[in-house]
Amino acid sequence: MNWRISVAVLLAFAALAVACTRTGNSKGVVTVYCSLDQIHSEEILKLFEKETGITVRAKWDTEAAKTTGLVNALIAEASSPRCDVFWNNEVSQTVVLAERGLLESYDSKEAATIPKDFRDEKNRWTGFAARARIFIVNRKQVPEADWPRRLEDLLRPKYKGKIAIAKPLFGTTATHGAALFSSMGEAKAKDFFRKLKANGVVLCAGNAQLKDRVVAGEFAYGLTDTDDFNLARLAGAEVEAIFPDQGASERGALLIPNSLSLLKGAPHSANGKKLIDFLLTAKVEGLLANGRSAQIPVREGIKRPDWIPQKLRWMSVKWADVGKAFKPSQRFLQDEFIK
Amino acid sequence: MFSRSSIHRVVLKGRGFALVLILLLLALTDYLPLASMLSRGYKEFQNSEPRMIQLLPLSIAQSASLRLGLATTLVAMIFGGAYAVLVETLRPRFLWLWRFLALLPLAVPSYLVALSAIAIFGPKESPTSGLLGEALYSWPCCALILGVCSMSFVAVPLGSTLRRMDAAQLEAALLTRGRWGAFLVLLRSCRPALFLGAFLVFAYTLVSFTTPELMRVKVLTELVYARFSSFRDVPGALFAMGPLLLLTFLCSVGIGWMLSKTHFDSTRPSDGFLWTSSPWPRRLAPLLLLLLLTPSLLFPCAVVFDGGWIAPETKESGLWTLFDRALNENAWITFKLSFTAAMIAWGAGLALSASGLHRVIQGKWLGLFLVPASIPGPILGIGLVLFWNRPGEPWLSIYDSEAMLIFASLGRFLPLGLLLSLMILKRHEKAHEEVAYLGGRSPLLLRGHIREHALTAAIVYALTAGEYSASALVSPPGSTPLAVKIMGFVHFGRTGEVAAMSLVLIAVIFVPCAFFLFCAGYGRGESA
Repeated sequence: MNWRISVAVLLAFAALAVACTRTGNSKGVVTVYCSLDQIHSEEILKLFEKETGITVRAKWDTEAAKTTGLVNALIAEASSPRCDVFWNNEVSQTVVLAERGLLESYDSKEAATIPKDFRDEKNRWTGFAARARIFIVNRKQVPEADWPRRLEDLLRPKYKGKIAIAKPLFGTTATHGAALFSSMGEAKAKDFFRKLKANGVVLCAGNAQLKDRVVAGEFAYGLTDTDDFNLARLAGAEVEAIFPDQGASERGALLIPNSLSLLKGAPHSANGKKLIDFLLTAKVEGLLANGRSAQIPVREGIKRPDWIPQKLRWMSVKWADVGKAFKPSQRFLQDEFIK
Repeated sequence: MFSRSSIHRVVLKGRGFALVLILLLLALTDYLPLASMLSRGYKEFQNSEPRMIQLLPLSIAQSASLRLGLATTLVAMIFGGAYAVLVETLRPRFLWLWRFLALLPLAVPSYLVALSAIAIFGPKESPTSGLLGEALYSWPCCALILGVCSMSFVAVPLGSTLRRMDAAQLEAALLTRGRWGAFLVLLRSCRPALFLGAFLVFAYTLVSFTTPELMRVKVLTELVYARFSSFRDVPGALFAMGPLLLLTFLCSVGIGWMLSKTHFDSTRPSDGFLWTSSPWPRRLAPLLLLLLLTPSLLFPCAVVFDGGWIAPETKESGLWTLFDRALNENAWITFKLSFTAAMIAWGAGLALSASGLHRVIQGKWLGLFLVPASIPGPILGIGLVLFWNRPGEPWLSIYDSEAMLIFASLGRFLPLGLLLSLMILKRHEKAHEEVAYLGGRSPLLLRGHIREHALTAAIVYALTAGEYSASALVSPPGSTPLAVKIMGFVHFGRTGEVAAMSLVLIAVIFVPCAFFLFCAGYGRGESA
């Protein structure tokens, strides 16, 4: 073989070998799988690096895969995990991991001030910085007197065909469905979704698309998350956020917190615990509240964004039950809405 | 197809090593991951819930893949065809530059164009709405974007054919059969190149994922991605990819077939022909050519000025930090990985040259090289994850490294690179190579053999740097290429932030690409 081709092949493989080196080093490293968007979480992880000197190797989920991409990766890597900390932007999928026995118990000292509703009984995960499920209302399309106040207002015949939800198979809409199954009971929840379908509810690909279409006036109102609403608000759109079921005897709005968990058999367990401690501090909740995603602090005493009520009635859910209700609710919603 | 003397050359002369090397690369990045996926899919299919599979035919039928592919092909043929005809029949000044620019739309990832289009024409969150609003999110608009970004696939082979056309033959047709007759002769000669480009664009569109996702067009690749990533449903993903693989396989055969019929197998282009002797069309040609290039080249620049880069809110201090980080961290990763992939592709092209395989494989069999390239990004990503993720085995060190990103890009673009290398080699005179063989030398010693494969490196580099669909699945923690980072910012990022990173990506693609093309001498003399 000609010497030139040998040199070319050698060069290529040398370059490959250089590129193959593992990123970071085994000391002072922590690997985190993060389903909160990179734009919101990267700065916070950099802050942790700066304060502790520990290198963070982060992998983010894609918008197309929602949270489930990372969850599936964690399940696939279970026998030899490379991830130390899972930072999920919701809870139900974390509960799935906990039920599969993939999570280690860790009672962080920083979790003491977090309400019990947002913590796992066995300390396998801890919730913080939540998003709420709210109505986004187009002010031009719906007069104030008609603004939806309760979840059941999604069934109003007056706005038939002008109400939207995101496809209930993914993300927070799927979690919301499972939460309703768990809190209302299966029969009532099924009845609610059947009536919703009969009222001509339109399914959007995701909450972001729903927000865009309500802003454009295509729909009168729909159910979305606070972070998506905040984007429309920042852009000056003519929309209003309504937190549903805030009456004294009503169930309250569903708060879906971010959840942090330590992986069983994590290669850098000690650093993982340090990262969890850091992320659970009030300072980080404050940063997330003031960021573009406008996450709602679950602790008392941390300032919320101005447009979010300081006194908020939230839906009391047992996340372990939501996790159990996830599969049956998915099956029902898939049959009802996707077929 | 395989003559005894060819086998003698390839095997007995020890050049089989080069062939083994190429096959090994393709096996590691394409065949084994795909086999791994098929095997896992079959195992899981036996235990899967039949109801999940039952829902899939409906989803497949609802997908817009086929009509999107056809519409994109049409757009690319119009834009690419017009470009090639204008350049080669009007011969504007700085001809080499226009030929060079024909390749550049490939260097702008189509999702950047889509993002720019959304920013400029799409619905605005502010009370002032965009020109097209929600109508932008439709398959015709998506086809337009994909078409202008893939016009190079038509412009390059067509331009090459036009340049090698026998002017005397056309003149004879003109004299004997008139203008219409001459046009038919021209069309007949260009038909293989046109179909070659059309097949390439069609296959490219069928496997595209990111742009349809941004444009909210439901395609099969997205369905495959969702089945795996959201449900870990490997049998469902395999089921959904069936029609896709069949179509792209047929395209590959078509590409090989058309490649064998194209008329650019000569290193000595003719003088070509001039459409008109009038000076005005020549003077106007640059303007028309720029218009044809505008959507793919200027959109990313336009977005900078559309309330993005110069908008007051993006002048916050955070933007510079982001720009700086994208430049120092993500750009370096992207450059390093793309350069490695490009060098490997260059090496593979040289190995192909040394093996003499281009004289052995002829006709539609050439398309076999492109079959692995017809595997869509998400499918390749899934296959790579399934094959290389072997917990508890030493393979994990590969799975946890940036090599996965190189494998993903090689898996997607090495076959295309090899096809390009074959096209380059096909132009060389067989007699020259025979002389080299008789002299006991490798055909690599022939002038231009090494240098010209830099073109392969340029194309592989450009496509790798912009690759997203497979990279998103296989990127290890701590290594985020620019393309993945940009897509991560699409949902919540400001236009200015996405524009800043897009500019970094375009710079990371353009500068080394131009270097490779310069090395290849592309656009000048015989090499185009």
